[in-house]
Amino acid sequence: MTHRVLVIDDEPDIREITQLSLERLAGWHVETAGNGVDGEAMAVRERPEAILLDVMMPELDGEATARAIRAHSETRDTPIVLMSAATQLPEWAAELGVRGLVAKPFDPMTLADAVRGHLNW
Amino acid sequence: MTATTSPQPEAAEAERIAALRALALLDTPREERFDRITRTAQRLLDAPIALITLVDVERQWFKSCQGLGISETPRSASFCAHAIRSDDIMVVADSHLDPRFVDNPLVTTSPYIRFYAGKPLRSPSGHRMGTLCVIDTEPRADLSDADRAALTDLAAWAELEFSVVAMSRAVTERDELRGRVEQLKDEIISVTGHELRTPLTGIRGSLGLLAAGVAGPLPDEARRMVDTAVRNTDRLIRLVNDMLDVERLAAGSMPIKDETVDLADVVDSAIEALAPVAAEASVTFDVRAEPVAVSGDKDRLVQVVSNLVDNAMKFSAQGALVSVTVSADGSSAVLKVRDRGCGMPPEQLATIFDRFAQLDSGSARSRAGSGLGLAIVRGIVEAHAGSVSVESSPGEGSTFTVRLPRRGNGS
Repeated sequence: MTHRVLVIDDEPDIREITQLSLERLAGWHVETAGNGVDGEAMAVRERPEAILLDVMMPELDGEATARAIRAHSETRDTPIVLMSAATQLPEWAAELGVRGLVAKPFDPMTLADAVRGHLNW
Repeated sequence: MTATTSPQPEAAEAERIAALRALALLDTPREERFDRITRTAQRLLDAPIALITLVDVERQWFKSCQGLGISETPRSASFCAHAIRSDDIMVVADSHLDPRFVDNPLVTTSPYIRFYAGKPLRSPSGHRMGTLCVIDTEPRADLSDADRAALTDLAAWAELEFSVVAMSRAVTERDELRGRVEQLKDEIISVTGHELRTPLTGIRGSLGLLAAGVAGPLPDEARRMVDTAVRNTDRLIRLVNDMLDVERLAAGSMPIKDETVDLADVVDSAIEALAPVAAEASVTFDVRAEPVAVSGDKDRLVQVVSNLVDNAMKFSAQGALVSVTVSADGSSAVLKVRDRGCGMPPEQLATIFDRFAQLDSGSARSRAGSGLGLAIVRGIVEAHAGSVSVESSPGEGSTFTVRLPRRGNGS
């Protein structure tokens, strides 16, 4: 089944790998944004089924981006999965309804499975 | 009075002042360690005033002061500034008869000094900082031999106290420095770990996509090379993860959940995850786990079992058996992991749970590992209020034993 997800990550290489992995290996449709501000706007406009969000980003970080996304009625309940170099969910994850965490580095072969697992897809 | 013998008096004085600053006693609170010396001097030499003075650039400051209600005087009026020009006791029997002091404000006005005897005090660095001195408002003949001896002994005592102060400060500074170095090291590991993950994600991701055929099917040789690159990248990723875990365990910053966990479940999860590796190594597991509840973090306890079993497999020959048992023993839950490998000599057992312990042992180096697995085991087990130990002898294999407090069992 084709899912539509939004990837927000400041690293272009990571965005490309994530997109290739989810599109070519899992057949999903992937939009990407390189910072929190673009990510927020794109989330509201595109209404993806889920958002993969990097935690450590300059300026608007993962937490601030998640808060901004949650502030819009269109994306109040959009599932968010974090992608992080940390191996544990940050403290704010529960409050902002984060569904899970994919630890970096990830295996592109199993990335879609990991995301599915967090979203019960 | 002879002037200083130093060829460069100004440079010597600058050095002396630097030593005085390094002693860091100026403007510090009164201390009993010095007051007891001036009290003793007052009593032994039957003097109304006794002082420990430090001669600063523009003033003399009293570290200890008996019989005088002030804490410092200008250096220009200081008897001690004269006294510290040599190592000998300086005696002024009657200030009214000494042209150097007859007009001194401390002579002509309060405290009306007539008699002065001061023994210079050297800092641990050998510089004359000030004096231990006694003062009388009446003139005296001279200083008796007994009084000279007493003043000299008491001055030596004061110098000893200077050394104690300097040493205890050095110890404090060393401890602070150690703490800072330790903290800096942890920060470097943490930052490096995170900074390594981003490029590793790029490398591992690209290799994974190549291996998955996203760029088209790979020729056999290229496929083997990509597999090698993937395997080694995974090894590097494990090392980075292990380093971060060790750093967080050492810093006490690893979050440990407090849930009821069945240790038998923990073993099942770990064994299941390791099954493919075991198959590749032709190692057989013999698992006997009875349900025992402990308090803690299941994921972290799975990591403990994984690391111990992984370690056991590394030291097992093809087809060998690795035994894992879980049992209750009074208020403890006991996990044992046993291999039938080459075992370890006693000297190696002592350091086996230290970070990078494996780096020291040439023989085990061929078996790939970060050398951090057992350090992580100990860190996690201790964070669960448990203990880990090992029994081994060469040729007999090794048995690792983890003891954790049982949940809700009087512990």
